[in-house]
Amino acid sequence: MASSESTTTSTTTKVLRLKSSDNEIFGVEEKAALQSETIKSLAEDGYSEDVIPLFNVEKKTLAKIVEWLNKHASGSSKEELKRWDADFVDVDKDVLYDLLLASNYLNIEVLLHQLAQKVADMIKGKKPEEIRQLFGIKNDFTPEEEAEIRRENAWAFE
Amino acid sequence: MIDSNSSAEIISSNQDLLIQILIRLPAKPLIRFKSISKRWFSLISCRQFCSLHTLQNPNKTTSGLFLRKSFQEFQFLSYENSKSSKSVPPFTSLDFTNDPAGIKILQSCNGLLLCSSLFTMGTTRRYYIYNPTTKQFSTLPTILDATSSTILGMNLAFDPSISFHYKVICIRSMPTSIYYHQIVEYYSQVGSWHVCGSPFVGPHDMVFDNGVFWNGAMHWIGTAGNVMCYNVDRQCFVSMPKRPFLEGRGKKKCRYFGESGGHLFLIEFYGSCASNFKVFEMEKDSSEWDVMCQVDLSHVLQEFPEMARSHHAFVVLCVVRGEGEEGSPLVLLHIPGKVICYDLKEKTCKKVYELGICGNSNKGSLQFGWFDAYPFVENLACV
Repeated sequence: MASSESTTTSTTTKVLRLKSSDNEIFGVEEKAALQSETIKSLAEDGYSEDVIPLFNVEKKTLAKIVEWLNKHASGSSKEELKRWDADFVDVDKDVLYDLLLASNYLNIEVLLHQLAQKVADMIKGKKPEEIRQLFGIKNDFTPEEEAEIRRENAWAFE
Repeated sequence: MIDSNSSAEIISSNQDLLIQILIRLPAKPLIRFKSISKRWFSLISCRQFCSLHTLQNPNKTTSGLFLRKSFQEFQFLSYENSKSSKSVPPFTSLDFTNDPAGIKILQSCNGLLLCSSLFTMGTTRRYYIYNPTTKQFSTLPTILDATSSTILGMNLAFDPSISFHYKVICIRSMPTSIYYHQIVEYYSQVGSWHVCGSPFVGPHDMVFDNGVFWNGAMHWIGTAGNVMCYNVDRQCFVSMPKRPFLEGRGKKKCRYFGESGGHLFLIEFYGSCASNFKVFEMEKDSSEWDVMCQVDLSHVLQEFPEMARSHHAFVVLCVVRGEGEEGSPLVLLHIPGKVICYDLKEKTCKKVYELGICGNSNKGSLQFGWFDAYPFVENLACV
């Protein structure tokens, strides 16, 4: 009994070292870090003893991601996590976009869904022109084509 | 700033990420966002996306009512814009197809409308499924052996919380005998008609128009009190209690039979005395009609004296109930020039919609009749 307990302890306390694109290293408990499918496969590929390089995530974003990973591995109650998550995604849109890209790259499904929901909530009341500006999208409709879509669906433009 | 702009651009150019975001938006902003660019237009119009969106957002909330002025002309009542009837309607006339005979709505079911061409001598009726949100429609193929039997009722079964496919349940007389009925079903998944089960003899009073799809089954009511319930999945009839028996004089008339927020409602009137009526609700297990509410409109009559002008100076348009147990059930009453939203729990008028005077209608008369209201539910369901 005692020996099995000590094995459990030793596996849960194993720390993985994650390196941001700008060379900052974050130590994260394995249990927390493996919520990321990308880190999981990198660890399985033998990076676990060394530093795991995450070329697409800057340190300011990685710090937030690590915070999320730790919280979600901490055994908090569902209600507490819900509150905490609501606070976590309540950030400036630029931070939100970086987190969304990072969670996509790191393949953390739960976080990706939370962030996508946040972006959806943020844009759902906006006008098409505002969305174009927000995402740097070029309007490639002719004025006639655009007018036609607007005319046909006028009820949705109120 | 340049950095963040490029993050946003990377997101919008990544198809998977963009879908992750768009799939979480309600139907209305998505229709609006079709005008952003050609790429957004084709993504939001794409069948695969629309089907996935319908399943992930099984919207059944009514956002308004289409009120029939004539077969093809409708006034739209938006629940969002109270007070004003200025809101732009999804449609005012049924002109999505150029059917030479003209068309009418037969039924609204969770966002899809079942329509048919009007009767003309020597032609078989054409049936259409129309999604007023996406403005897409499809024409159903001609039913098997169309000429040798009479169609008694066409009914649409669509529940986005279960599947993005729909079925059309047709009840028709057997070619060999008008006393025997037969069910023929259309499956949108395969796009064809199929004869289901063996011929049956229906109750003499049954009317197979105006079926109501609730709890996975189609329900019809008869003029003498019979109720029929057809389980669409199991393709069989199941027993159902008769319409509630009420003490009273005069002819009993069903004035509303419909579904809202997962509940099945029935309103019946006796004779001409109409300021008192009961709203019945079917038990979840289809075992019994419960009296959900006894309505007494006498104080509403005082508030709106225009109602007292004749016996039935009002029409029940529909009963509205949100999903889940919370939220008071409402009944929408049409009186001359207005629609009143009456709270069945608090027994008060919650809202009044001014209909505006339209065309040649007399100020003191009703613009719409019983069974002239069709709920509008926004979703991207493919037809």
